[in-house]
Amino acid sequence: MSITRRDFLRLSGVTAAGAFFGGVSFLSGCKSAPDKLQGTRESTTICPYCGVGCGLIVSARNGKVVNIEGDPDHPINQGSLCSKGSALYQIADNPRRLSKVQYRKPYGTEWEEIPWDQAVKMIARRVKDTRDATFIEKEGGVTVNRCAGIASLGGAALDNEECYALSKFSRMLGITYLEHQARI
Amino acid sequence: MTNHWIDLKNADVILIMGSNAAENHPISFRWVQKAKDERGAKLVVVDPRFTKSASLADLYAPLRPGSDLAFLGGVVNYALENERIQKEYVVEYTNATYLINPDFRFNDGLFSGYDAGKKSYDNKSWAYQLDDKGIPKQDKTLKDPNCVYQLMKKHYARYTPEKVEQSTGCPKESFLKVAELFTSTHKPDRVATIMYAMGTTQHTVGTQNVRIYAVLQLLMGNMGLAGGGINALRGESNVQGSTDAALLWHILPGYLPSPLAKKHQNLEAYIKGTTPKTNDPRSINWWSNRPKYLISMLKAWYGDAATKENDFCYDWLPKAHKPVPYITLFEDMYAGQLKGAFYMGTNPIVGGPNANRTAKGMEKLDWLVAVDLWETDSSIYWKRPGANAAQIKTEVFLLPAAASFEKEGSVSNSGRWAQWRYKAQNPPGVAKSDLDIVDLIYRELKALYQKEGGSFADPILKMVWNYTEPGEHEVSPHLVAKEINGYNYKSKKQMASFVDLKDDGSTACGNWIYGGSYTEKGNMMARRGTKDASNKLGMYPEWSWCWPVNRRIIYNRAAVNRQGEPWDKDRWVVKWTGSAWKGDIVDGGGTAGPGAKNPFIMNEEGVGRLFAKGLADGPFPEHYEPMETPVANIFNSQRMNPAAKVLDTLKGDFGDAGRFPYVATSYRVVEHWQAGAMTRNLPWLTELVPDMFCEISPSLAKAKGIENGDRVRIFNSRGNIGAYALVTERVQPLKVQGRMVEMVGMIWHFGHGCGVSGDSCNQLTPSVGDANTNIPEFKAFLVDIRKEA
Amino acid sequence: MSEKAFLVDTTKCSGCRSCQVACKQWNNLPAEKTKFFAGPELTNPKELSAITWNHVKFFEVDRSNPDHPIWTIMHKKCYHCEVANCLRVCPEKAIYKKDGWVVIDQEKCIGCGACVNECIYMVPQVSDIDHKSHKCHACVMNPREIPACAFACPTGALTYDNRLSVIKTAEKRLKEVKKDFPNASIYGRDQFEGLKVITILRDRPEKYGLELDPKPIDLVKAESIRETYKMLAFFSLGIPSLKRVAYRMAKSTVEKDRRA
Repeated sequence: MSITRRDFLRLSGVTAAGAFFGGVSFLSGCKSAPDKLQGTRESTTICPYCGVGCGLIVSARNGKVVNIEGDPDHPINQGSLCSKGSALYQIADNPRRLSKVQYRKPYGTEWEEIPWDQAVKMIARRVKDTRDATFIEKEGGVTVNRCAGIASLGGAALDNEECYALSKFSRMLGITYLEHQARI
Repeated sequence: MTNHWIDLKNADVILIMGSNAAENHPISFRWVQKAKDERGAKLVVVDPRFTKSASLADLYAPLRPGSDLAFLGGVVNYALENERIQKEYVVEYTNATYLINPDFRFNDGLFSGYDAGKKSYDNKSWAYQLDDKGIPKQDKTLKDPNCVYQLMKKHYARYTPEKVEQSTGCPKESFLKVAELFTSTHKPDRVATIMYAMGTTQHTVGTQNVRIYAVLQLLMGNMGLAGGGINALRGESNVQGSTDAALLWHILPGYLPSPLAKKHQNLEAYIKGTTPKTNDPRSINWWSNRPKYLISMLKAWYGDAATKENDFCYDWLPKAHKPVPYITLFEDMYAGQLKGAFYMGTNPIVGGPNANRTAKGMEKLDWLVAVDLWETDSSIYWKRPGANAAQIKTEVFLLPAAASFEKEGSVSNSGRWAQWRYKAQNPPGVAKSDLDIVDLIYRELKALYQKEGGSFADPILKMVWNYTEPGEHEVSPHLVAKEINGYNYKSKKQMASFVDLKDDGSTACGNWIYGGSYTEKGNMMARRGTKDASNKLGMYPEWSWCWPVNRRIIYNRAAVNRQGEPWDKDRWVVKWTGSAWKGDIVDGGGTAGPGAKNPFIMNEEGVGRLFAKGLADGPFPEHYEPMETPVANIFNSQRMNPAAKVLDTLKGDFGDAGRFPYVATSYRVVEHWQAGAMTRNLPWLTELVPDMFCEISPSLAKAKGIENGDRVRIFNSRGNIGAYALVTERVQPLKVQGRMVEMVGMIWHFGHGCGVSGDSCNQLTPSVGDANTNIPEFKAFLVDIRKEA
Repeated sequence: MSEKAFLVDTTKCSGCRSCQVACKQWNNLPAEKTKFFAGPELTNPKELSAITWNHVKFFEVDRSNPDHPIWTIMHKKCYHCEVANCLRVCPEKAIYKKDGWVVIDQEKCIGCGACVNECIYMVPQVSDIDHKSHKCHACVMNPREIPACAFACPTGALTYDNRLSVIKTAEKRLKEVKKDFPNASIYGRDQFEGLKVITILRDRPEKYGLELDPKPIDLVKAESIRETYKMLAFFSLGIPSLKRVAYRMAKSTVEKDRRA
């Protein structure tokens, strides 16, 4: 595919004015429409699904994503995507996404919404209490500095910087029960 | 991957085994197809099912799940018997010529040194014979009966095509076609690549399944070459990076071993126990640098507190009392030993083995902090079908996270390319990035310890954690990335690469393999240069950044002969000009020529290991049956891997072919991803695959009265699930040891949370792992199936 | 002929269905509610519809040569016939050619269903929501340089180029494919005086439900169909429920007509 990034930014050269985006009606695509990407701010990203690492271009208008598709300049996928990559827009605009902190109390049957600062305070309290109660400094004369009561799982979907911070944070607590998707 | 995605186009033969790349890594086929179109490359697919990858193959061979080593042992035997090996490469660059201790034995499935009580080996007799200088003895004629080549020839002589057929169910003719085509790449100017994934690793012999790929690629002379290598196709966007960052019990960032209570009581013992030595002047022995990497990491973590006098706070690192891989972790949770847990974008109830047991184990937790984009099966386990929420004590926090394009940071693909991504919109509502979430919890915790004190507060109070730019509230991923790259501790200047790291505390580096990713020149991971390198192989050295030191093909010293001439002139990765290297960034430093140094720099002997002492289950890959199998092991009288351990608490958890006659295996489809939260919530994808389904052959369907689209129950000793039956010609029974073995294939993306739901295949999978890595045996176990009433 | 066309090379299709999703993404089309699989193998939904303008059909595996089974996975969308039945029978002249592509003017469409009934490929479909006919417009109504489906295809199974080049490429490819599959064929060069979607197949077109020598509807018959639909649409007063009845009647009238 010979299309270049510069061409991509001006896909159609359509001159019609007026913003167009039909997020609600599927009929939008049936009408002769001005450039879907007109007035959008574009940024590049890497696909969050498999390990190929395809590039995508995310177009946002007024801070809201309106289109996501393959990055034609990316040397691996050269604009192409699989069905998952092509569907990424539905993560940007999805009513099932969590937008509040959810809390389920012991023996509770429902979620409750709580504010961040309360959640962070509660979590830090539990981490500290568990760590203090289960911490082992020495074992058979060897300094082990291990927190025996907490596990941390996950990370293969996180960014490198997040993985690193999580790895460091877990070891700081003394966690050895540290595993993630690479093992399974 | 030793190579990278685009490099697939440089292959002459592409072997896909233990992977369905067309389905699970679809863009790889852009490059597979290019190799076919432009080089006339042949695609070979070996798989229990006729998959999407198989449908595009030039040659397809079926095999029974769990019989990979029987098949590949047969290919090794074929190569050795027919002298289809790249002999110059094998003699120069592998340990084929090395002499092994004459006490080494292999007897009916057991290598010398086996302790049946411990189910483990003492590998003393697997050592090289050393000369008086302490250098391994060699016989370059390959004739010494104790040389690796002769031992190997003897070992694999048992893997005849007839036995391969009897064990795998693959017709002898099909097997021979594969062996013939694959070993056609023993010629120096023909190259094969191997693409593999979890179909290879998720077995009790998973590590040896990978090992035998390495053995084959060394015999063919395909390691280090363009279009060659062994290429693990990673299933998640950053499972490479998360492993590099060591979110695993057994390693620290950059593949430094985690300290163990029994072995590494202090820094001196750690360095002594983990730093390999060599007396061979031709060996670069890169891991001799290990102390520099550990001490620079300790300096990056503990800063001013880490001094030479206190062993750079080595004692602050936690030391495990025993191996605690995934299966053990969940057994300890089940036993009530764990009180709290963090789940960072993970869904173990769907993704891990033995899911019913996992869910019950989670009920023992006092608290759970789950961070995700959505409710997942694992964060709502307290309201899963059959659970009584009012009796589950766990306090659950579900924290809303930002999606990949709602924050900034890097991810590393399978080809080790670390690529930067940007923020396109704010996350919904009050959702935050995982980095911000960890930061918030850390800061609150630090405040608590400052106020109240507590158990061993030092690391919490003194940890280097300066990730917020002045005047900002949120964490800057750039500051974290800079620490990962490393800096001069005094001048705070970014390191240009890991070559300058020191073991005296003067340098700090979070993860040495990322040294060079964020230098004084800036963020190398964000580069978008589209110019190819001079060798025109599609390496794109100015696009993003790749570890180590932007080397696109690792072990590339093996791409040339001892004179420095490329094995294939039209496809050269590096070449030696007599005084310098051209092309890719050469392994092991640019000053030493190909005659002076050995190519496999991460091994202390410097050559590729056909015979490997460091494995838990033997120096040569040997076939053993899965934990659950309907057939006998015809290669030796050990039924299963003698070094694969089953936890005591799980001993009653397995079934036999008498009760559960069908081989089951799990896999994925292109439309869904892993445990499903990222796809079962997207209508465009659930339109394509809306329900949990299994695949069975028309013959099994007929025998069980099942028609396409019927609801079926699939069950074993661990669980009982419902699914739709897809009756397909793509699944066929295989004739093994005189009887037809049928298979039930299942996708594992479903569970009971998310937009569409269904039963999880992993309710049926066993908690038994590989002898080396403990990766669970998802790919071969036993079930029964019936039509739902 | 306008110069552009699609090339569907089923010998390179891995069935990832990116085309099906990319079309929905670019054209803001909703998902369909499905259960298990609607067609053979992994086919979902069953066919093209008013909200599914690209469709990937998975055929049953042909094991007649057990050493080399054939699993055909075929991308399908509007073929954009040079002589298009849908265009000929549309009573409102809502169907027209734009840059050579057959498109439906949604302002003019009355949802009568004439096009639905007369397309032998069963491409256009009337929506239950807006009661108008919809199908692929090769992204000319929602413009971009390369249509979303072809832009997204990873393997080169769906490409977009000048029609002459497409045909040249297809013929060259056919020669290679024939080495392994002697019955391999190209579809779309001549049907309806030339389709704008050229398909390379491992076997004969009939195996994949593609009619080898379809006849375009003749102009006289097309006119009588237009009159019938127009009249029925008029009498249904634009009320959807009445329209439905009218469509059904029209269809039976036309079918009777056709049989005669």
